[in-house]
Amino acid sequence: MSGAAPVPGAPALSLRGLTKRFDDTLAVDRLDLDVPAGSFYGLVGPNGAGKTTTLSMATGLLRPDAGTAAVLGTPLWTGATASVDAKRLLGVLPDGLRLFDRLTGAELVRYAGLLRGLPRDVVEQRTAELLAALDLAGAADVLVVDYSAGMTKKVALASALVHAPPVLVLDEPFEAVDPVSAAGIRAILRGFVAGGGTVVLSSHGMDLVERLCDRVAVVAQGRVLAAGTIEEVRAGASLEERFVALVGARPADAEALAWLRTSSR
Amino acid sequence: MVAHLLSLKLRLLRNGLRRSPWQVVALVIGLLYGLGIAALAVAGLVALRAASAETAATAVGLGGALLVLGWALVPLVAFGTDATLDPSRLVLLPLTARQLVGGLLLVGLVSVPGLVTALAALATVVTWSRGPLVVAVALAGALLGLATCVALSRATTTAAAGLLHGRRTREVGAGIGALVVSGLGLVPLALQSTGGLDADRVRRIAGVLGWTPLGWAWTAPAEVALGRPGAGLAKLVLAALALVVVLALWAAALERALVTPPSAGGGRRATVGSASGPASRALARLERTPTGAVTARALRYWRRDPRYLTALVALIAIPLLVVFLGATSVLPAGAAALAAAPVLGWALGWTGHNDVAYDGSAVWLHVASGLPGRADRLGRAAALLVWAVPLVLVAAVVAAALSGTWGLLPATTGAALALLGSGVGVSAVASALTPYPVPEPGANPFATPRGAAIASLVAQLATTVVTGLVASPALALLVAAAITDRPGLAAALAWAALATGLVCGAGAAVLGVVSGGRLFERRGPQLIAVASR
Repeated sequence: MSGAAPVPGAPALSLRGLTKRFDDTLAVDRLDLDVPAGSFYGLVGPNGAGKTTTLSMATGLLRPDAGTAAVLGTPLWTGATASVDAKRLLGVLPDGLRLFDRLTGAELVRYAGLLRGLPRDVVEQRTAELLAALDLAGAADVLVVDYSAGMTKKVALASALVHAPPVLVLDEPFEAVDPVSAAGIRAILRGFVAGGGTVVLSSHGMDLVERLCDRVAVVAQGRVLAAGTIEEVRAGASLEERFVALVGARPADAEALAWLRTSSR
Repeated sequence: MVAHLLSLKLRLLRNGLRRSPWQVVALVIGLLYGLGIAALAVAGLVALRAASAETAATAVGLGGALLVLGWALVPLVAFGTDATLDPSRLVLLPLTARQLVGGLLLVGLVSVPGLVTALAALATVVTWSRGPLVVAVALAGALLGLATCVALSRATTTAAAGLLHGRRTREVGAGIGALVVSGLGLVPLALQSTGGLDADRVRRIAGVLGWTPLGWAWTAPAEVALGRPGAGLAKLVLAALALVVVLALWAAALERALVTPPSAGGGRRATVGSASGPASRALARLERTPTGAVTARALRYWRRDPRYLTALVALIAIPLLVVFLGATSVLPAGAAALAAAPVLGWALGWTGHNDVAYDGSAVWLHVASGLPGRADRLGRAAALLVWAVPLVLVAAVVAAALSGTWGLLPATTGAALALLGSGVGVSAVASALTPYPVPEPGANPFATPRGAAIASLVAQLATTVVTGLVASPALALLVAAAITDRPGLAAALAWAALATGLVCGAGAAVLGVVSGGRLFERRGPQLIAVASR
């Protein structure tokens, strides 16, 4: 674990000028963002705003065209390969990528821990505790491919937590998760932040971000429109109202899609 | 409906080509290759017009029967079928399986093999342009034969994918498939041992095949040309019935596939006892280091993922075919026995050449974990070597025992290990450098993703050739030891082949793991991007 020590006082995540272009679309456009250590940070934005692209570049899964990212002061994109030291500090839950789903839940979490270089007995013990905490103990020996969408999210979260990283980056962690499980995940994440960890999550749920996070950034068209504490960003209104105002709401056209009304047939 | 599906297929093809210049290159190469084969076939069939009706009947009948057999079986073991219009994507549309079958039949023609077969089928009309009735029957026969080919390939792959649902049946099915294919390889051997092939025998075989479903459509015009219009029309009716049966079977398989989404557990939630069984305990013992964890994971996948099983069947079947065909036609029997272990080593070493693609985007876990590339490469290589090395050694000993060539055992062992090792090395580099699309985990293992058939052919060819080149010193010594007539020299050369093979194989494997590891670290993000495209 040489060189993986966090730099004191450095932000948990520091993104500078991150840019990514896919063919003709500029997905992320010179994006700057600082996530203070110990914060519970929400990333909100409309579909296609570049949230997933940003988080992928911040976790070493996607190489930026330009810009830098640093985790607790350790630069991530250095030279030809992404820094292993920075990756050690991160726990990652990506959205839209597969898992090794021909493994059982227990095997998958254990695999994630072993890949991180943890000793076998530590992995064994943490896997059992994580599966129990996420209410997956009963499905520990079921193949992940046979899990429901919500169970899959939970086992992926367990895989992200198993090496006890100081910074967690979660892309849509609550998607398809039922309310009971969501409450469990929220409790785990609050405990993680209370213990000194940092959580960055993306979500469409404004209510959820408002209740759970202490800081928020609104992203649209690959740029940060507003960032700060929840109070600063919402400026007296609700987060949802501010979000719609920032992103620019389109008024609903009363005449559009008239044929959809069953009564008009 | 049919026109809709066809235009959808063409649009998907066009958009795919627009997206990747490599697909254009691959398509052009495939077209050139296919048109070359088609030109040969058409030229031969046109030339047959001048031949006697008996000769033409034999040639067209045999060729046609082989073509139908090829369409039925080759997709099962080798290339799969084009999955551009995967029926599971159409499941939500209000269409019956019967409606789909009509459209997909025509769509199946829009592919390089479909084009080649269509050209060859139409050329048989030229062969039989010997009177108006013969031409009419030939045209009908060609169309029926063509439709049967396409429908048969879809029916066998759809049905086989359905059968491979449960893990248990999947394993049994893969075993049966391997037996059937290697059994086919024995056919020439059986012919050889019962007196070889002469013109008369070929004619009789063609005659029998002409009265099987494989030959009905192709030999109907021959019957008319030979002055038996009744038999010709009967064959035409039988061919039409056969097509109807194949279409019905395909529709039935499709109907079932549409309501049974592919999954590992076959509908039920399979519990895998993690601590039960000696195999699981052995795997658990491996899981002490990141490398060991990768090995254990890969070995679990060999057992649990049908895509690995079908690949394995193809890999075992193809060398067997090569050896048996070689044994019976060109080479003396002893040479085939010498080739058995090296060919097996070649095939096994090469299995990993697209390993990362089989992970799909799940490989993100390796990238996000900061797993050293060397650990990834070594872990995957070990998962193969742990069973491939014993298998190759057994094959070498069995081949030596069967052919009585004990003196050459060190040489065959050396060549086999050289090919296995260099295959592992080349694979370690190639799977990080040139992954090509494979069916998604859980998808029909017999399907080829859009645009991947030819790309995979190029990658497969290149990795095979390079593997052979790296192992060539040991191969050369094996050949030298086999052809020299001085026993002392043969023994010396054989042991030299063993030593060279060990050095070549081990060296290539180590070099491949090290440089492949560096590539994997550098190209991690690209590998995820390719897999999630």
